[in-house]
Amino acid sequence: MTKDNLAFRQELIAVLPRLRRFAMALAGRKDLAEDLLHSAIERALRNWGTFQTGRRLDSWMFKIMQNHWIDTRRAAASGETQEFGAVDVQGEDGRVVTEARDEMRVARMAFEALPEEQRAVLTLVVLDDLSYAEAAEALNVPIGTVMSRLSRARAAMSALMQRASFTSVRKEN
Amino acid sequence: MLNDDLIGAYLDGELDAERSAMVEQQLRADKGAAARLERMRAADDVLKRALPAARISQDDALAASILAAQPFAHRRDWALRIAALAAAAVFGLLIGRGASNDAPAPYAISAQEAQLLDTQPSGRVTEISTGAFEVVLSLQSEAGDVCRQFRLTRDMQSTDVLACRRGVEEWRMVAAATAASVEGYVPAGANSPLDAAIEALGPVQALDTVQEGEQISSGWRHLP
Repeated sequence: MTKDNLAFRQELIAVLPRLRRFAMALAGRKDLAEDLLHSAIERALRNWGTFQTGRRLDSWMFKIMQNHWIDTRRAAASGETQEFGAVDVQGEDGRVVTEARDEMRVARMAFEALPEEQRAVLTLVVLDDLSYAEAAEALNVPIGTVMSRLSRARAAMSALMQRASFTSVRKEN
Repeated sequence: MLNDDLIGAYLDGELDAERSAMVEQQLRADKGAAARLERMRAADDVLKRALPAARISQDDALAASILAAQPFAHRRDWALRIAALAAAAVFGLLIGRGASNDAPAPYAISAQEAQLLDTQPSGRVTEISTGAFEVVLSLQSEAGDVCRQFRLTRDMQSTDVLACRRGVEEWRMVAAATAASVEGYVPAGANSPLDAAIEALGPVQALDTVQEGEQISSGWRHLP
């Protein structure tokens, strides 16, 4: 083994924000998302030697997380009810006008209203720029399924956002 | 006719040049499709701004524990509950694997390996007669077991082994799994015998460098 465990850990920390976002997309709740993230990282640290240098670490981690999530969901049988709590949003600064914040709030609400598998595929392809092939591998589904879920997710996002902005306009009047 | 799958694939840069050109041509003729493309693009843009990946703050506890190699002493109730429920399924998996031909052969800890397990810190590679030996992780269970996971690599093939001892006992193998060959991709979960064995230890704590050092200097008899 010539691979460097410290370098692996550092690379893991670099992708941590994206892993956290994906965990939230799957779990829908901050406490469950953190548990999922912790478990996946424990597993990754145990199995780091099987990670092939040259592969995308985020993509490898997404797959571990997806598998772990499916496992725990299966074990939990009926499962927890999913709800998004207040999502911490960073990256907004004081100059962002109210209108834009509103639009983003609407987008977050629309995203939260989507089924879990649609949130997952949107996160991987739109937010993390994975190719369809990479997303299919991470999610353990055929590419065709990635495409159809993505289409449905985008259509639902558009519809929900339109409806939400319509509602908020009416409220203001 | 442009369906949404195809428009999406165009937007995501998934089409080759020829199909991309074809879609562009059809988009010029089909105003409805062009509008759908713009709606998708706009929704994507808003989503990207609405859900940025948060920056890691200086005091991110998880990042710190990854770096310090001392992850996760705490487990929430939720995780324990899930683990208990999952145990039955994992046990079934182990039985299933035991019956198959590709299960790793029983592994006896050699004297040389036992000596390295006693003395070698994690992350250091030593060449021994059976291959390249590296301890990956040290654990301590609440029940009083101390365990070390090591990897033995020989002829491009790695075996992961979990060895445990308690008090004055010798190191014994608890689980083993064949890891990836250098070319082969092993999907996540392929090490499940080791994962399952660690789960079966009950509540465990991964040792950090300092704790591991204490165990090494006390001959692995340091009590928590």
